[in-house]
Amino acid sequence: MTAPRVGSVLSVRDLEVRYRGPDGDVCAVDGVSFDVRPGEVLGLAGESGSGKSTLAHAALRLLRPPAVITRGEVWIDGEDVLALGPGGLARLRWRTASIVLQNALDALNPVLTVHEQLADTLRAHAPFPNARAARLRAEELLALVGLGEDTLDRWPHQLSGGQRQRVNIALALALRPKLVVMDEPTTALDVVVQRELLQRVLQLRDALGFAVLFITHDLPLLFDLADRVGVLYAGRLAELGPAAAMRENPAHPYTRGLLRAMPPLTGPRRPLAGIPGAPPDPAHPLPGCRFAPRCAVAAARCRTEVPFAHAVGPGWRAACHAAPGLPATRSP
Amino acid sequence: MSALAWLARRLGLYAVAAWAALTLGFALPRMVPGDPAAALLARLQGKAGPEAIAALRAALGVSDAPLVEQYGAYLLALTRGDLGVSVSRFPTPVAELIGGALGWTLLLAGVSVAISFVLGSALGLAAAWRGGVLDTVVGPALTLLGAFPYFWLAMGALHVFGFGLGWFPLRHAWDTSVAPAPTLEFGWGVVRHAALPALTLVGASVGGWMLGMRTSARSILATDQVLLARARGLPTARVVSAYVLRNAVLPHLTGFGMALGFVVSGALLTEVVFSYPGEGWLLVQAVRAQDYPLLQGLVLAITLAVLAANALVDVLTLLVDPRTRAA
Ligand SMILES: Nc1ncnc2c1ncn2[C@@H]1O[C@H](COP(=O)(O)OP(=O)(O)OP(=O)(O)O)[C@@H](O)[C@H]1O
Ligand SMILES: [Mg+2]
Repeated sequence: MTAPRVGSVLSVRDLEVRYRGPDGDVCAVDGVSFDVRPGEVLGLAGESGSGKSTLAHAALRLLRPPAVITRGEVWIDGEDVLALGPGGLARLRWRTASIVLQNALDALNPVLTVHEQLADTLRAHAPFPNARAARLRAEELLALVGLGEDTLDRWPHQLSGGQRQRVNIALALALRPKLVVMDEPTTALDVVVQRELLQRVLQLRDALGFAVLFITHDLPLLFDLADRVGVLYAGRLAELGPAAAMRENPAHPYTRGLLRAMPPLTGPRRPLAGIPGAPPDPAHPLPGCRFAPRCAVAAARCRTEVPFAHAVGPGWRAACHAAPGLPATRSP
Repeated sequence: MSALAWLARRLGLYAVAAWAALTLGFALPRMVPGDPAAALLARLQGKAGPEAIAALRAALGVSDAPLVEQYGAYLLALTRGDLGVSVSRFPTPVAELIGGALGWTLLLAGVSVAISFVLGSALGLAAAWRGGVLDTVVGPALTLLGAFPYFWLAMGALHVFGFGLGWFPLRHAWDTSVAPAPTLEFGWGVVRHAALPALTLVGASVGGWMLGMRTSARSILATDQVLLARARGLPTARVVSAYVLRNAVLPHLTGFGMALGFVVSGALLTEVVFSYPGEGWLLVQAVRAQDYPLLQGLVLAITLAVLAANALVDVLTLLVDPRTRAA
């Protein structure tokens, strides 16, 4: 295992997360390592159940039982997250790093107005001289995400899905964090609203300079959005590399399959190929490569030997025995 | 629809229900065979002069006038708070009897229901938040207590703490040896008399509230909004009160309203066991003496109380849950 990269806002090293259960554990995240650099958008894609949300929660130590981190390290802005006490955690969470979750409505308190929730967050970290100051700051935050002042005194149920998620983003940006984790922030929204919101996030990133760990099941979307892209399969990182290079020439058969399975949002339509078969049952992991049963190029070795990630280009690695690359440089 | 319109519609609904109850109260005694007023008059025949009997007939509302006219007179009397005259305690007005008992019932049952709800909800919330002994021992113990038949619990408490240990008075609502005046001494007597029945009432119901609150608080604690409130570093007190409690209490408001509404029927068994002079005690008296006017007045009072409690819950829900304001 390599040391956390100096200068990364987020370093995840060999992370393993399990859900404890009466019939044994489910290993939802299995030996994942990656870095998010200041100001960049790192995209993580994967099918449903591949461990995306588990990873997002683990990064900010927000896992709830029966989930436990059984191995690995998480570093945020030079701090060892898994070793932090309550005070350190309270400083880290929301000043340095924040999160936006998948379901916008569940993430808001239904009985408090938008302003009350924003003000609660602001006041928890810095005292405000008076109510007026807090309100002005809340207004500024809403303006950042393109919501008017009239939204302040509304309740979540009075907002559209897109507006709710904007409020969640405003909440995440309330304390000017260096890292915002976004777990499928736009999955519940229609395509037009989704595009608008993502454009807004990118603009804000340029203006405010925070880094984003962007999680989605929509790989083509990531290629449009992210600087670097990682692909998760059954809790393992299959491939991670620069978005432009990976889109042109994906190294992992799973990445290739995913790209074929999705209609491009722009450009000509073409028939969807998809990937035959279904993801493995995480309660009964197979030996070897987890993708082997669905892989068109799987060899005998793939069913017995776990493929380690190896470099296929600069800043680009894939965990596949068949992937091309530079066999001399092996890194986890 | 605006919140006020919604509330107005609800209140209109209650008004219709109240009117139906009033009308039923008018119709039922006139449908049953055997006129209680006639029975009372028969008992007085020969003892009272014809003028006195005519006055009595008028007071009891017995007349040969057409039904519509009677109905009008009945409603008119109600607007004046006139519920007729008790037969068993002739000639005390029914309204006076009910009014006198109401204070004691509100004091005993009303305060007990409120304490039980607040205490049970607080315990349930704490059990869901902290777990521990509260969740594993106190919760099941209180549930067990609530599972006993209530009269058994009440008589057991009276026997042990009243009769055996002599810690509490055995019957009645105040100290008869002290002049009923707003003095500290009299007040202390009232508290001492209410304490044991109130304890049994709270003991029998607090477990239910606790269990209900524990369940709903647990499901609220599992939501993303609470996870995020904690992640954002909000003070624990704020998370518990505004993010957990306010959401978890919503499903129990209706139950609380029902419990409050039925307070006016008196904690019947409590008042009987402890000879406490509230509405429940009065109700039993009325049934024993076949005092129809009193019974009718009590039924009306109970119905109106249930409706009023429901209206109160509607207003409360409106205040706590903004979603009802928009629906
Ligand atoms: N509370 C839990 N108990 C047991 N197993 C769980 C629990 N939550 C998730 N899992 C398992 O962990 C794995 C990863 O779940 P996770 O929610 O991280 O997936 P995801 O990639 O976010 O999926 P989606 O796209 O549907 O949100 C799944 O196989 C799931 O079955
Ligand atoms: Mg998810």
